[in-house]
This record gives sequence, C-alpha cells and structure tokens, in this order.
Amino acid sequence: MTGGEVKGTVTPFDSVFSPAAVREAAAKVHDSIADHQKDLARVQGFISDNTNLINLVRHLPDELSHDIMVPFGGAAFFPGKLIHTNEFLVLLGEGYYADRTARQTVEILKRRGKSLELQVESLKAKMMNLEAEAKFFDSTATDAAEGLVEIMEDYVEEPNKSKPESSMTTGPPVADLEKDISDSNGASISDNARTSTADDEYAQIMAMLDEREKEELEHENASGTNKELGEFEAEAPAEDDSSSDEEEIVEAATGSSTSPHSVNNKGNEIFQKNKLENPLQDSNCEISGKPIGGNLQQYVMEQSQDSSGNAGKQTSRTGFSARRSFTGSIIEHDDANLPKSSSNQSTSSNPAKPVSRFKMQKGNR
Amino acid sequence: MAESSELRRQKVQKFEDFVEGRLKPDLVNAIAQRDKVFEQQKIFSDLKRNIQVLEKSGATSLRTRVNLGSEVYVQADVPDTRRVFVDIGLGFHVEFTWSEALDFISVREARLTRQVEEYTHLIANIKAQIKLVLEGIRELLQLPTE
Repeated sequence: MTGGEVKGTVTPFDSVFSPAAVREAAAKVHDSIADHQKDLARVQGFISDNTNLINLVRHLPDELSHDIMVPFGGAAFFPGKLIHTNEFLVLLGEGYYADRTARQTVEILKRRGKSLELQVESLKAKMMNLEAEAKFFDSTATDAAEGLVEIMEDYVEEPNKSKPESSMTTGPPVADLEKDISDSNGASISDNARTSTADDEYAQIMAMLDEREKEELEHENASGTNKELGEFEAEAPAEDDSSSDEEEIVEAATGSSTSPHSVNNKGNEIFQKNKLENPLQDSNCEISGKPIGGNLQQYVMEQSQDSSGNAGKQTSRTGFSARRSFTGSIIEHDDANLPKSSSNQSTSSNPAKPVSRFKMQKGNR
Repeated sequence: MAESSELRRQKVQKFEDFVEGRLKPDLVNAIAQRDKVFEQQKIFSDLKRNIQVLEKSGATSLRTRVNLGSEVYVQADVPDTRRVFVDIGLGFHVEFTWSEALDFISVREARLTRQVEEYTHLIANIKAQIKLVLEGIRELLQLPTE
C-alpha cells in the first residue's frame, strides 16, 4: 500500500452522479415518502375509528335501548331508539353478513384492528427505507458538490497469507474446520522453515507462560472450581473476541523480535498449542521462566481461565455443541524444542482456535 | 428573425401555462362541484321515494338498521314515523310532516337541478376557453410555416 506506482482508479463523484440527476432522484423519493405519509394517516384514521367503534359496541349492551336519531337516507332522520342492543349484523366481507353478539363483534373488530396495525407497521418500514434512501441521495449530492472522489484499487492477495475465506466465520461447521486445520498445517510448516532461528525465544516464552498457567490453575483449585465453571459458561459466547484481543496483547509482547510478522504468527500458534494442552498436562510443563510483563501475565491468567472452562465443559457436558465437541486433532506444531507432549492433543483441541488465529493475522496487516 | 421566434416561443409558453395552471384546475374543480350537486339530488330523490313508500303503506312505526360505522349494524325502532327531520342546509334540520317534506323536497330538487345546469354551463365555458387557447397556440406555431 506504500508503493509508488498507480494501483487504482480515481473517479470524481460528480462525474458519476450528476447533481441534477441526484436532485431529481431525491425529489422522487421525497414524493414517495409524502404519499406513504398520506396512506399512513388514512390507515391511522381507520384505526381510531375502529377503536371508537369497539368502545361503542362494548357499551351498547349496558342498556336495553338507546335514544338516537335514526338516519333516514342521507338528508333526513327520525327520532327513535336502538333496540336489541346485543345483536349486531357485521359485514364479514364479500357481501356476507353475520349476526353476532356484542362480545363476538368486539373480537371481529379487534382482528380488523390487528390487520390495520400490521399495515401501519409495513408502511412505517417502507417509509424508513425511503428515508434512508433520501438521506443517501442527499449525502451523495453534498459529497458530489464538495468534489469528493472515489478511489478504487483491486485487491491483490498477499501470498503468505493465503487462508481460505471461510475461516473468517466465527463458528464454521466441522467439515470446514478440518479443511482449515489442514491448510493451516501446511502454512505452519513453511513458517517453521523460515522461523526456526527464533524458536528458542518462543520456547522460552512458552515455558514462562506454562509456569504462569500452572500457578493460575493451582490458585483455581484452591479457590474452588464450581463458581468458576458458572462464570465460564456465561463468558463462553464472547470467547472468540476476547481470545483475539488477548492474542493482540501477545503480539505486543513479542513484537520486538527480529522478523515481526512471521514471528508473531509462530508465537500465536504456539500459544494456541499451549492453551489447548495446558489444562490436561500442565504437570508436564517445564518451569524455567523468569518474571514477565504485566500484559503477558494478564494474558496467561485469562487464558488459563478460558481453557479450564473449556476443559470443564468437555468433561461435564459432552456434546455441548458442534463447536465444543469437535475432537479432530490439531497436529500443526511438531517443534521438538517446545516443552510439550502431543499425546493428549486430540482430547483437548478446540476448533475455535484456527479461526481466532486468522483473525489475529488479519489484525496484523 | 431569431428574436421574433424567441418571442413566439415565450408567448406559446405563456398560453400553455395558462391552460395547464389555470383552466384545467378550474375545470376539475367545477366537475367536482357538479358531482356533489348530483349526489345531493340523488339523496333527495331517495328521500322522496322513501316517504312515498311510507305514505303508501301507511305504517306509523318503523324497524330499521343503523350503521354504526365499519359496516356494523344495529336494529333501531322508530315509534312515530309521521314526523321527519329533514336537512334544509347549513346544518339546520326542520321537523316536517310527510306532505310538507315532499313539498320541500320538490323545491329543493328544482334548485339542485338549476345548480346542475349552472355548473354544466360553467364546465362548457371552461372547455371552450381551453379549446380557444389551444387553437391560438396552434396558430402561433403554424403561421410562420405557411
């Protein structure tokens, strides 16, 4: 994106949308809004008539008869009274009438009112759409007047980030996940080749993290797991977001190393690895760390909470969902110099992780 | 030459504006007014027929149905039909006997018929004016070509 050569095209807005055309379109939309407004007023008039009628019909049977002026054609009336005040002749439609009691009539009228309200709803929705359209036209007109230009550039995929688009979705089905995993496996192998010199550093960091996680787990065990479990279930839906945040933190922590981009990738994969394995095999970890920054520590704490939550779920609620119960193996990192064992991987792998890793990569660009 | 054609163009524009902006709305308005009078005429002729039916049957009480709105009807009873209140205009109603009512209705119908004639005349007038102006425009456009 910093390249000097011309990559895209620049189009002034007012050459695409001529001001007169925009104004015309806006006027058209405003007319249409006015029409809908009229319709809305009409329907609302019907609704108020209907509610008045419901009140009238409800109260008519209170008395045996009511003195009224009985209309006689459009221009004359007789003094008279309403009789049989609990009998109504209601038009059902298509010229069919039915004798109903007051209560039944009220029900019919209420149903009519409901359909009227539906009409009002749809009219309002239409008007909202039109107003949004009008706003768009107005803003386009002002933009064009201000001489805004549209810059278009073709998207060229960068070769070392060729991940399938499907991994962007937060909860992919199992089949996709497996594809994901195999893809990322290939990618990680190439990563390994490039970044083997920096591996020692990661091993060290991983060891530190393992230590922290172990401490955290011990702490949890001491303070009781029941309460924690409850919290994790509540947290679970937001896990993807939070984990990507955490990964960014880790990026910051490891950002000072020699080849930042690939190194970060690597680091995150390792992190995920550890996240997955730790709840079940923390006792295997080598503890060879020294004190680290607050960010990292916080990350470790959150991470261990997360993973212990996952572990709890896996033991207590098998088949929690497709995402949780996925048990395909993630065997992407076979680095010999990492403190881990691969025996327990299949039981603790979490399918959501490739997704978040991709997210991280996106954030990295 | 160009100046005169420009002048002619402006004149034609003015005439067209007059037809579209003045005469045609007037025409629509007059037709609507006449329709209203027709409606009144129909109401009174209905009333006349109804009263004549009542007279013929000689019934003094009446059972009918009243529309409460939204096509909901209730039965109504009229104990004495010999006196009827008729709308005489401007929101006033007068209590008539049948014969009085029929007299009034015939007077009213005559007046309504006259009104209809007036409006018909007015409408014809406006139509004639529109025709005249259109003819003028046509002449303005055709003269130079002759």
